[in-house]
Amino acid sequence: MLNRNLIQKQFPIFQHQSNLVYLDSTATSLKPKIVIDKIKEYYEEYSANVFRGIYPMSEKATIEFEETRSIVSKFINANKSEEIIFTRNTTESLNLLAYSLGRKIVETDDEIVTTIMEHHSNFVPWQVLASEVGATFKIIDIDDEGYLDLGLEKVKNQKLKVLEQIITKKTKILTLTYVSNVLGTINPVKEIIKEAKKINPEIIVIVDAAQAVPHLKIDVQDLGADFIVFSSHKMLGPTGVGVLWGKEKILQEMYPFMYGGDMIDEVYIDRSTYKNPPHKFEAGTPAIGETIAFKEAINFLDKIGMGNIREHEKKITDFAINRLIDTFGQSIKIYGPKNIEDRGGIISFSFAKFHPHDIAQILADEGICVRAGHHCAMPLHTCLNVPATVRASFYIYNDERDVEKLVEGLKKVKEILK
Amino acid sequence: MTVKFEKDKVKEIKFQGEGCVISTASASMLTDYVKNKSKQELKKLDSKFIIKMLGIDLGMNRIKCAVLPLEALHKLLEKF
Repeated sequence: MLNRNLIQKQFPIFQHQSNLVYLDSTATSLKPKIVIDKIKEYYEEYSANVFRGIYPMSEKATIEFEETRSIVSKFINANKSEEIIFTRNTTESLNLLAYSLGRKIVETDDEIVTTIMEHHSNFVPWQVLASEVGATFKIIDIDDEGYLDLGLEKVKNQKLKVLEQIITKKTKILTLTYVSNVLGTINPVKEIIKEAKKINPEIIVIVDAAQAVPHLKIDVQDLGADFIVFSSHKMLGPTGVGVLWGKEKILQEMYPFMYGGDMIDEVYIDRSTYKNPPHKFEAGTPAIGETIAFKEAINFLDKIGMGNIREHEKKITDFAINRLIDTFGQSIKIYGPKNIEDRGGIISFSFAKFHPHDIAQILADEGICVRAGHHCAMPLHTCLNVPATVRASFYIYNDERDVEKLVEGLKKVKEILK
Repeated sequence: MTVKFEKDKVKEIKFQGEGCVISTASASMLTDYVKNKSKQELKKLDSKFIIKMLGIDLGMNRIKCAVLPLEALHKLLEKF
């Protein structure tokens, strides 16, 4: 286990919010001092714009900014840092793809395939695109335990058979989440990509890794996807910075996303030419200080080690599931895979007949931060046949003590709402 | 929500639903309050009235729970 006390000391928020039990890292993570200090350093010491000034301060900002790009690139083992595009967040990365790639390659009667467990940001842009161009929007279902319904549990030669019925030569895009933000399910993404490309070698695969990159070691070259997207703020970094990694060749063929400063090469009265990726997709002044500070978050994670983080989260999640079931038995229903190997540090649950908002409110009064609602995944909640769930999620600054607080909090919920 | 008017006034009002304690309490108190009130009076009710009626500290994220039954009532009135 990671040492919670040592880690919490590096997060100033624990000095400002006494007895904080923060179980909502799936929404956004807390920020270590080293990240906050780096933002301050930019604003106090060299707060110039990037790529423009010849003067030293602007050069310093540009060097710091581009250094983050190279650190992100190494962190996910990209081929080169030109394949890293900075956006505002995962949502913007996905919308960029729907506009710049989707509108280029998807035509009438083509297919876009996604899954029922997607966050709205990886669902709605594709739903709208499909309806605009007259393409078919296909959805991979889940089974009772919250795994993608791929027939994976069946005998080996039947493996991924369901995929063969969904993905065809007409499927231009397959877009899916690596880790469900509700069920916690870690999808067998590498295997799915391999199978999908076997059925249709032309298929473009997009992986929403917003809940994966902060918690698992990701190697984009090993994964075999064409694009992966994630956000800085869920991995100890600042808000306002998202990442889109894509294969250079496809990035070059895509339409630009937004037009304006920084992304153009030359502008004439009748036409313009554009820069190469990544700058082609980075119009306007970016979140400079936040991007610069993002690398400190990655360095922080690297120092702890992604393997250690995963082990830590597995232990807490396993402990929490057992503790909740031991204490509340049948009255608690936990969604998602039972096998801890297939599950991230996310526990969504229903508790007796109590409404999730009421549960979250009573927990909030006890200083426990959880999320209640549909977690931006309404199609999934419709599929689970519940309007909302309560979600507790774990990160490096949590341990068993937070789980005990949650259990105590839920006892109080039972007492008040019974 | 179902309403029975007699002339212009609410004679009977009932609601059916599953929800959090705040929306349920708000629906219950609202349906009690509006009996014998006129359509014009009902239209005038707003979120401030609901917050006052509940008389508890709601916090900004729960106001929508509290106001939901009033929204339903106002939607229903559009049909008359």
